[in-house]
Amino acid sequence: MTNDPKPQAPLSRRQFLKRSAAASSVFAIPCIIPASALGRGGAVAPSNRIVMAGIGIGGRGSSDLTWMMGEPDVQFVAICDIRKERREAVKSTIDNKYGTKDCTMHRDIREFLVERTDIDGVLIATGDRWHALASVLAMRAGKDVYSEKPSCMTIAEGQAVRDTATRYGRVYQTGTQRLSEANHVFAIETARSGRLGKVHTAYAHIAPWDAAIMSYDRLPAQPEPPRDEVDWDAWLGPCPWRPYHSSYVTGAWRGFYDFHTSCIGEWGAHTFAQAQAGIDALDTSPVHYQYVDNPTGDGMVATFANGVKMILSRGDKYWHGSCGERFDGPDGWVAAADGYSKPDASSPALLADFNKVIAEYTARTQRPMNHVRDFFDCIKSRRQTVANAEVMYRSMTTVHAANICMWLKRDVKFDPLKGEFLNDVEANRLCSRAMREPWII
Amino acid sequence: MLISKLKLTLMVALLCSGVHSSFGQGAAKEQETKLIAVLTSAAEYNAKADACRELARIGTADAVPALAALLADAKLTHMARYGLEMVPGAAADDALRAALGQLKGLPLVGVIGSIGVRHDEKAVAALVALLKDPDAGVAQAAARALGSIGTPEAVTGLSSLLPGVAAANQLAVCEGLFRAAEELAAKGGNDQAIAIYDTLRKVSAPPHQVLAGAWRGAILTRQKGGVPLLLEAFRSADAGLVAVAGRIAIEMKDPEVSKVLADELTKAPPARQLMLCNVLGKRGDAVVLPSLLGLAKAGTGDKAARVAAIRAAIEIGDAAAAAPLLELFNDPDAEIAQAAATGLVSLQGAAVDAAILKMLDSADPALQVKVLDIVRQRRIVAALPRIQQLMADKNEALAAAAVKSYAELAGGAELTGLLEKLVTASEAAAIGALEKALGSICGAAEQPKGCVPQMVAALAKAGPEAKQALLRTLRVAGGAEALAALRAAVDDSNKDVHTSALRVMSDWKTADAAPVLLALAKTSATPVDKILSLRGYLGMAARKDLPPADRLAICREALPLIQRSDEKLLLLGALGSLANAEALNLIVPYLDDAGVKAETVALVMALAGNRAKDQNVAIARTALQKVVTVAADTPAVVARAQELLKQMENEK
Repeated sequence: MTNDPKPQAPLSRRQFLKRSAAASSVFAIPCIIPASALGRGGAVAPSNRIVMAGIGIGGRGSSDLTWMMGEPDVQFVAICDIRKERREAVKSTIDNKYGTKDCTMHRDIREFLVERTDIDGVLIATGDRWHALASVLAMRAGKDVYSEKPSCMTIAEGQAVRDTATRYGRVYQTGTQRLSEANHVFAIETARSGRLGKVHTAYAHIAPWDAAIMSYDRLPAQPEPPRDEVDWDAWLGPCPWRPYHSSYVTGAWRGFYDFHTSCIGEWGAHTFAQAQAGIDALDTSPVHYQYVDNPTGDGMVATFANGVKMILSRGDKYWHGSCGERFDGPDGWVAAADGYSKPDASSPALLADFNKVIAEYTARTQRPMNHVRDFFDCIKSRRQTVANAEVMYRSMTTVHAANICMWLKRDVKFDPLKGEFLNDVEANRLCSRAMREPWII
Repeated sequence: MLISKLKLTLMVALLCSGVHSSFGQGAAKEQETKLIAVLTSAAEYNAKADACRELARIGTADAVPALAALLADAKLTHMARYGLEMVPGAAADDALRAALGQLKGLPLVGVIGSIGVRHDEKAVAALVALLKDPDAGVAQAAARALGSIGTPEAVTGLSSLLPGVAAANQLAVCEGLFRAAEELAAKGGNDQAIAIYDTLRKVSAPPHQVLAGAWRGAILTRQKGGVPLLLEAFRSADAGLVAVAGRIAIEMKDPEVSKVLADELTKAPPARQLMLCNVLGKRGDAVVLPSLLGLAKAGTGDKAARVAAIRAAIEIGDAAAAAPLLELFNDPDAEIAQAAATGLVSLQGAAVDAAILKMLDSADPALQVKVLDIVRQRRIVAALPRIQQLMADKNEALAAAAVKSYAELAGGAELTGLLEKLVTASEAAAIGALEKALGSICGAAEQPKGCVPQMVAALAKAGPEAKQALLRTLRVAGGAEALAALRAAVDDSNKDVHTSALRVMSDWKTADAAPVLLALAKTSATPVDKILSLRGYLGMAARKDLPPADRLAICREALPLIQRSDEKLLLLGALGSLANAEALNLIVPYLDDAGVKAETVALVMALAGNRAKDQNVAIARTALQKVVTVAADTPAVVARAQELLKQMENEK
């Protein structure tokens, strides 16, 4: 249900292009525009303005929102959230930014997506359980999507997101922003370029809290608030119904099997994409996962088809700081994590080329060192983002397969081509979960 | 009854406590039997939901009747499907299919969804019938499920509905057709898939995403045969469709596509050239480089398109682009030259290095300066001998650029040469660049201290300016030998060298400078030197890499030497960072010092406030009582101090 009357939305980029084409028999405006020509410094014409909306904006989403609203060619016009308090807070943020009262509030995502045909893209920063479903619904409705991570709860959900983005030619970016940060890019490019020799091992950080084994408990029931305050059924979305408790809604959903992806997903969604990027494995997943007899998966060795290993590490043995990755080759190693002024390397000489490596990367890929900017550039150029749906699906498949390995307490083998475990019915039955009606993809 | 329910709940909890760990077949069957019993009992929701969840993992055909019986239960229907959807074999399909005729509303929507997930071909006829269900949710679910099943019969059902479909259901029917096309193409039915995509391309007033998907499918599924359609889309007056064509062109793997698009490049108007260049860059086929660079070099062409062509050539990343880019690098238009420069920095390969080095021999000093910048950014170390020659060029700008490049590229092998240049250099800019180079070399060396002997030797030959540069670089290298050289330089007769040595000493990286600094703080001839040394010494007390006891000892040693408020504040800062009882004891006397009273009060309050419970109560109490006395003119502080004192009382 929409809370506000239908707005007088600004002329969106899509509408502008449509009208331009209709008004002229000659070629109107090219949709593929180099990033440098996007007019970042000044006023932005309607043809270049990207109209955005937020879906489920909380703590992390607020950071994303502020980051995105800093881009001069981006305008947020709506917020969709099942919590009234959040809807109002985000509306206030957006209206204050633009000095208007134009941001509209919506509770029901299905109605919101049908009604707001003027919106180009959405920022999805709900809890984990909703990331994939909201992404699929939004892309099916023609929106481009920036989704926070972890961006899917199961391997099947990841496939659905990837397939939907491909099917409708949507631009999709998962929020693995470290793929657009210079220190991590340097580590990745150093590994890919052969300067370490042939890299044999990548390391990726998993969360230094929580466990791989999840809880099936339920918190004691509390009276459900009015639907307009908190739409509990929508909050649960595709997950099994359970009685309301306010703690879930305010963030204490982590650790529950229905809502969370364990310590491996919590941080693997932050780090596996970088680890796989450095060994050119963003289009595949490991084929073998070695069970480790501890509560967290610390030390698990996941091996790719070419023999390269990826080791999950919980502590700070391979880096200092959080969200680290490291690459080892016969000629040295390189590592990066949050808070580094420069990456770590086995030799200072490796770091001497830092600026050159970044310059070469940006010239070759034409990508900015700014994750949300990459998303917006891609909305205009229609090219794939650096953390596109395939990247998300592959890196999150590694997360989910590692979780399943821990849950089954034994090694598992995976076929990345088929997207399923090899001759392993027991493991394959954990690749998807029936979604609760009506929240079915 | 309540006891019975509790027992059941406990039983399910125990049954499910081993969730996800593997167990043998016999144990699994036993567990399945118990879980089925829960489902058929009077257990409450949670118990039955948990049983369904576990049956999703281990359930067999034996569990199907119990699960299917819950499909009509509004509260448990989802969990029933949660189990059924995962149970292998025809029994689960049969049960879900049978439920189609018995359910309505949301439970029916759910069952339809599960049938789609399971690809039950036997359900097609029933699902086709549901496409016209008045409940839009049911009709839409049926459309998506039919698409997932993807048989020709499912396609017929969906296609026949499409022309007159209700607006609310249009997207779902299109989604179904897309899914079916993908299923068919995956099984080799490309012609059937193409027919679907062509149908979707002709949908009346299609949503833009449907149009994009239909054109994509129609072109890619045709493979080579899709090129004419691609060109049709490229030449469209619909800008949205042109954008779709761009994305599709990037996806097409056939190198022939690149040639066709390159041919199109020569015919297209500038705006479309721009887009084509970007597509060609992303495709990465070097075969189109002549076309791109030809456009880039066409001086009369549209500038945006020329820049786009250069960028595309850079993205392709082939060394063959180097020579044309070098020509463009000298283009009179600064934007074109800059775009080319970006490429010259990023193109990889020794041949590119060689081509760039040749340009260093240009007779045009302005161009040489620009080339030096490229050489520097590419880090072409092989250029060092030639750069060394240019450092002596009579053109000052060129010589300065050469020094800057040399400084950045020089490595350990160049240390001797750099030191020779430094001791003979007189220009401040040159000395600065050489110092930077020396710092880089020392910083990047595996053993920075290995650089020290040569630097110490150079000190003896250097003039005052160069000597100061060397002293600063000694700090980068570190070690006892460097420290000794620095100490000797403190006694240099040149005042600037003396002061520089003292400043470097007071900022030394390791604690071995502490005794030297203390001695200088005590014995230096001038007050300024004493203060500099004392400050350096107090800086050591604030270093968190030293043991607290050592830091406290430094503070104690410094106490009798401190006279000015500035140094008192440094001491207080160091003591504050220690945050222990001994430090607090040393801080308290400064509450009586009018010059630093305010800062001391704040520090005592912070330390007392953050004090761990039951720790150092007596010392903290004394300090706070003194605060109450000396801060009488600040009631808020007094109140807070008294509050903390009261808390301490309660700790008793």
